[in-house]
Amino acid sequence: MTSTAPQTAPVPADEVPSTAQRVRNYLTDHPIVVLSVVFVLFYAVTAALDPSLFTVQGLRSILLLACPLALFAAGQTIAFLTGGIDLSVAMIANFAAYVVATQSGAGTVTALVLGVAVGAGAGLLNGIGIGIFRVHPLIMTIGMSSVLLGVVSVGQASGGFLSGSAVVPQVLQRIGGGTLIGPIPLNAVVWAVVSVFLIWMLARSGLGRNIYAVGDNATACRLSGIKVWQVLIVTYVIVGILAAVAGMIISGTSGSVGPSQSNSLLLPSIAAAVIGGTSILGGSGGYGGTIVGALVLTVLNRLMLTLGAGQAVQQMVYGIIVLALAWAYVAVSRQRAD
Amino acid sequence: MKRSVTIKVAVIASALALTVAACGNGNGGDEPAPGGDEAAGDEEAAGGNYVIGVSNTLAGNGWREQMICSIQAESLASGQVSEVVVFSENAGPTEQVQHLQTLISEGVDAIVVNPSDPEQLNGIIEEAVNQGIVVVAVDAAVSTPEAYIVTNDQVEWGRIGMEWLAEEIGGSGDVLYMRGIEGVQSDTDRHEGVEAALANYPDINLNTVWTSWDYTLGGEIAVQEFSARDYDGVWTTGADYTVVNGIESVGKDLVPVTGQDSNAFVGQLIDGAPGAAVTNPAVIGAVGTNVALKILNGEDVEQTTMLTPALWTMETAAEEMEAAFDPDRGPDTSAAIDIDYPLEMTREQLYACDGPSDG
Repeated sequence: MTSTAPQTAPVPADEVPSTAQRVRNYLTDHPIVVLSVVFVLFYAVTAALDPSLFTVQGLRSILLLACPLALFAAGQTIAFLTGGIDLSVAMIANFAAYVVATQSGAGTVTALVLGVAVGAGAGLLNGIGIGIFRVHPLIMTIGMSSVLLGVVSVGQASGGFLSGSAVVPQVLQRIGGGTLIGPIPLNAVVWAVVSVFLIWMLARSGLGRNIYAVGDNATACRLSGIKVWQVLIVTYVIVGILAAVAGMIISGTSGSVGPSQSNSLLLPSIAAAVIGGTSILGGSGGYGGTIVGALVLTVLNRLMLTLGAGQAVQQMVYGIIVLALAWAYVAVSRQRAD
Repeated sequence: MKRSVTIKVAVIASALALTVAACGNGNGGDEPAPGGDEAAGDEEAAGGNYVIGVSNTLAGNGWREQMICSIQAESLASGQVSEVVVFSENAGPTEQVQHLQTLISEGVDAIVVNPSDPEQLNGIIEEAVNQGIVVVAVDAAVSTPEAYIVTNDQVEWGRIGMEWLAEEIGGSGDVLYMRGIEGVQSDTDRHEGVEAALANYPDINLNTVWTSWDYTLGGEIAVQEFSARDYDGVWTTGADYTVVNGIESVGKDLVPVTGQDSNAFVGQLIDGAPGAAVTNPAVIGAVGTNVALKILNGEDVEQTTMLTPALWTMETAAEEMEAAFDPDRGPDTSAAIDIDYPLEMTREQLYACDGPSDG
């Protein structure tokens, strides 16, 4: 049915592709270029309305706000690459932040380690469910999210294990709100480390190649001897750890924890990965695009704030633009897929 | 196999629930005169064995947790309560109706409820009162005259904070106006007070945002807003200390912030942050418990008990603030514990958060 016959039809009679076509092919193969142009465009438009974006302080604020989103989106990116998704990242982040804040009395290092362990543990359970018991990632992670919401609620109730006084460690407040130098907030350092690691891991390591391979064709992987379940478990553990770190940074910025503090970033984290060019079906994409995707969404958010529209209007416009970007990406990439 | 077991369990559970409910109805039917007479006629209750039910629909919020603790502590301190049954989860009116339904079926003597809606609980509250249960709505009002109401004066709360802020910034400027949840009664009331205050200050521009009473969300919004523009002041409906942190995260100079008596916020004001705290004591739960016990004991109580908020600044109330602030307590607990209403419980009992059945 879907043989090569229709593919040859739209190609013009002459063999050599025109310049326009080559440009289009290039852009299709490198969505990050298009996205970067979109980012610069958004930034320019927003800055025209709000000149403070041209200042060091303005640039810093965009990086500060983009960081937690980019960390969540990093997790979504590698989950996407395996053909999965993680809808539990926001609750993992909330839970980890609570654990850190309520255990900070036991020492900062202990608290931070516990927080990361919570993320890794939840990710491990996700990975086991998805990799070994073959639960669909959507279902597994929604379930995990619901379980964690319950755990946090129980923990917070009077006498529960999260009911002690919740104090965000000083070091997190520093990372969440401090400045390294000029326009670089401290949380961007964490983000940079994560970015370098992920981009290297996906491009150069065996794990990275396996992640792409599993997302591309899990059956072929299995037949060729790759332990797909191991790849999936490691993937979701990494997603969980990234979510936990994001949750801690969010808490650091405001100096508090809330039971739903990260929830508003769940859909944007998926959107950032999608508009960053990572296929939700797995096998293609990368973190570079997601970084730009997260920056685009952050500037978009800022544009809405600058326009002074109410929160309801903001949400609508934000949703419509995200949909338009996602649609545009699919429209472009489908030309190639067909 | 598994499914049939589940169904069986469900059937048995419903049967039990029906039985309990039926018993409750039977008891109610035996005693034609509800209210004080019933309490007097009920031997068990008169012996200091009241059971108090609690329903709360915002879990994990330090203020609400303290409200519940204050109900436990006051119940324990009164010596008249044998058990406090607490339903506390993040939910809406639908779930809260189920809370009350369950409490009725469990045969509690009084219900202290923080209502999630002023209208939608009226039916179930009337049902409870018809069965001789005393219902006290704390923190927010319900419209049925069958319930006793114990609240902080939220209109006044909104007014005095905004009036102070307007004066503080010289009567004109841009104010970030951080409200709670649209349509929730206390938010509407506070807004009414704010509008009343602003009638005298036409040159103040408000930019309204909604924080859902979530401290962290409030902090995030402050970071967003202060990144995008400058404000002369911030009026918050409670997300106070995180807003101060948020402004600092952005790297801007602090502007006056108003909020409530959150422990961390009071600490920030003591440390020199510009702003004012308007008290909104979470021990309102204890006041509600006290009112419920009075009614159970046949005393006459006004249908509405309203506490008047106080404005705390370092210029006018440094002593109160230093006495109220406790660095060892959670940042979002309510610091205003010693209030203008006689309560049985002590501060230690409140902190311990033990109820009569925990002892």
